[in-house]
Amino acid sequence: MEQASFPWLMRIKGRVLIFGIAMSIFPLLFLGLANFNATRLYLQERIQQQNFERATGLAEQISEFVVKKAESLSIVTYTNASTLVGQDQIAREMILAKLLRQESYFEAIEVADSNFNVIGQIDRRNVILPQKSDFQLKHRDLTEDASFSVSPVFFSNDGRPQFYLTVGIQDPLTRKNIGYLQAKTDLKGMVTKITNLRIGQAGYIYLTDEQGELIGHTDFSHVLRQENVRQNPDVQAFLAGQRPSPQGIDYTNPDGLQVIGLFAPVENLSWGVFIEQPIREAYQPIYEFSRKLLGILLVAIALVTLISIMFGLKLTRPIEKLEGEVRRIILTGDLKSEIPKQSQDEIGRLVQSFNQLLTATNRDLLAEVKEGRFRQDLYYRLNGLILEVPPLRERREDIFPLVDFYLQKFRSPGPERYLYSLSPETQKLLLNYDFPGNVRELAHLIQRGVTLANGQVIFPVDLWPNSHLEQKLIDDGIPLYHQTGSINGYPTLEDIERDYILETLKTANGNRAQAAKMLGISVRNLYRKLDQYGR
Amino acid sequence: MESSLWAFLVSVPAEKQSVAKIGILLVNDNRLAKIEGLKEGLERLGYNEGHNITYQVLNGQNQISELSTIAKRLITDRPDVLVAAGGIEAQTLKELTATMENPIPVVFMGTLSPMSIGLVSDPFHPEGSLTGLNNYHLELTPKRLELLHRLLPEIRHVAVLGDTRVPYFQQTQFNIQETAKELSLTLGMYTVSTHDEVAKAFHQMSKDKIEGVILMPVFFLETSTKQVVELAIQNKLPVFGVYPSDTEEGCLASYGTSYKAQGAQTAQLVHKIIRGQRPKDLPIETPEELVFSVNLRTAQQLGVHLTPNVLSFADQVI
Repeated sequence: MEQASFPWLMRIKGRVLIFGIAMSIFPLLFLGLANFNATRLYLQERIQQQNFERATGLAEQISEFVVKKAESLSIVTYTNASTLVGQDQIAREMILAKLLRQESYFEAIEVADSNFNVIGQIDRRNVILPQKSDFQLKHRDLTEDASFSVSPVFFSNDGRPQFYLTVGIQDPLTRKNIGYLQAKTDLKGMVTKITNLRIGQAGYIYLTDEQGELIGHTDFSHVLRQENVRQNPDVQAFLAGQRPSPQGIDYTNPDGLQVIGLFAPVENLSWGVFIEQPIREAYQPIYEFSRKLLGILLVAIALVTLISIMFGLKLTRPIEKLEGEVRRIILTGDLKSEIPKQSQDEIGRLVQSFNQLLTATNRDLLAEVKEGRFRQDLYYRLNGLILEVPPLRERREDIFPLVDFYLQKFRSPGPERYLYSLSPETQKLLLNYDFPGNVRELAHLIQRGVTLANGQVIFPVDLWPNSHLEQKLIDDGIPLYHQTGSINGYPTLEDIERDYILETLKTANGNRAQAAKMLGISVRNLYRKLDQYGR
Repeated sequence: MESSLWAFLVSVPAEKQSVAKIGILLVNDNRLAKIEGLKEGLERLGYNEGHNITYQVLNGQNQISELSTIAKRLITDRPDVLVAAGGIEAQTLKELTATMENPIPVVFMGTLSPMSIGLVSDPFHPEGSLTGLNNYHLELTPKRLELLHRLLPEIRHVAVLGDTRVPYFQQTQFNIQETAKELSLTLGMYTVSTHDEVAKAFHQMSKDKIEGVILMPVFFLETSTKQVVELAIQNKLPVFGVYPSDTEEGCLASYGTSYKAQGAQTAQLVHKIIRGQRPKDLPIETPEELVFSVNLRTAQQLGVHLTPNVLSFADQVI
């Protein structure tokens, strides 16, 4: 079949569907992408801002921690100044022991006189040997205007970062400096406590001193390994004195992991707090968002596509139906059938126009082709199967059964439903009539006769009122009406001419060119005359 | 509505946790407290027994010669992490896993200096598949001598009770001798490996006019504390132990980290290995908490007077 090779995309249905789907997918994708980009930026900013706030908060906590430890030392010096620098060794050691017991982050405490000579000490791990006279405090940088000092961070034998925290001992009366109290403070416990804050599943916090040396980490093993973090871009930014920013830096950490890092300096200590979070994990909410958004988009696209398909099918179904009907007519050659009109829209009007076209072309197409009034290629296109039904004039035996049929059909209106009959003259006329309009003309004639008949008998004049045949009927002695007398006369030349032309046309089997030749007139002239006769 | 949609869109599904299998080897019931600490520590890190972690504990019940057989059984079950309760268990597991193509990581819950006993050569970069906690008990031996000296300054002759089978004994002797010299003390070395030898050692101490005893952190003495305490009381000898439990059992004092604390601190290392870190990336740790424990009842029994300045340093006083 020809239809089999007709590409689906070239069909209206295909085009409508493609258009519908495209128009639904593209705006959704565009809006989805725009929304995704905006949300991704927002989430990135939010995650970085959150980490920056954490880093800043931790830096404050570390600073406060050191200040508090210094304060706890200072309180001891305020209340025990004279004992700490006095001669009572046992009393001094008791104060130090109590302080060490209370402050779990202190590893060792030393008391020195105003010349930094150590006069008392206590230590958790190292043996305290009898003091030598020249034994002095290891870190001696407390200035007069500072309430405490913090030494550079150093590492114990077992790898723990520590620093010396020193406060002055003032004479309660004179306010003069009479000594120093110095605590070796362990950073591990403090940093572990602070860095235990969870940064997602794989994020971590670390702390460096002013040299960029790692002194604290969520995973303390990094500190014990003395991991070098100085090359990290955020550490370099910190060491270069750059201002901290919520805008993180993306880089590869020493473990080869892509991370986003940012930092916050610890006030008064020259240390830096750093937060690094693997990019993959930090942006997990973004990936999750995009995954879910994509899912929603796909569902929306599927729904809109489905709706497009439904509307596409609804729109093209009448066209397909019309096409099917036309195809059926072509296949069956049933040009008399009509295509049912199912809607009032453009398609309905198209069906109506097609039906009118069908009616108008209900002619002997072969003859029309021969006459050049119908396209030959179209004729052969339509000429799939022809069931030839001869015209009524060639099967006059069917005239009266058809007359009976139509008389039954067009019975009088109202409750009486009279059945009409034909006068013998009418019957004779009909039997001799050519019926150029075929069965349909017979039906119209009977309908007209029923309508115009005065009684229940139909006379010739009821069939052809005001017709020029009237004279012929009179001439033939055929009563036009139900009358007692008859009207006789001679036919006009025009009547004879018309009858002759029609007879010749009949002899030529309706072939007007042949009839014109037989008549010795031009085809054009024949057409003009036939027009005059209303043919 | 809007916020819940937003929360839905950006929420990250919880990571599905697999169940970690921990195989624990211990030589005797003394170290059960370490397992208790380990379990508590891991629970604080989010591990719930039966839910996302399972423990298989095999106890040697003091049968050291059988420890290797038991350990093999433990290894056969291919746990994710092997945990050694102490030095003997760690040595056994180290030997057994050394020949494995893919050795199971071993974490020890506190041993004496792992370098001295040959578990690792570099504590900051442990080789092989072992890591764990150095309980610092060996390093603290001179500190115990100092504390004993400060608690009872009148003592001059101190006995060190150890076990020659322990490989680090000579090294310890050197460290403690140095300290003794600085503190003007004389030391007597006594080694024991059986209960009879313990009795004989105390008999000999009386003869040697020993005034105080320092216990070395050795496995045999861990299992003989009760006998040591009885003999010490009989001989009016103050004994300075290692674990807080030694003081509870009657030693005059002790200084070290408890079994439970060792287990709890080791939990961090076990957690890191469960999360995929390799033992060689996990340096040996040292205890975060040291406990100075004093038993005043024992002091009373011995008839000794402890100096108040040192006593005020005590974390636990019984």
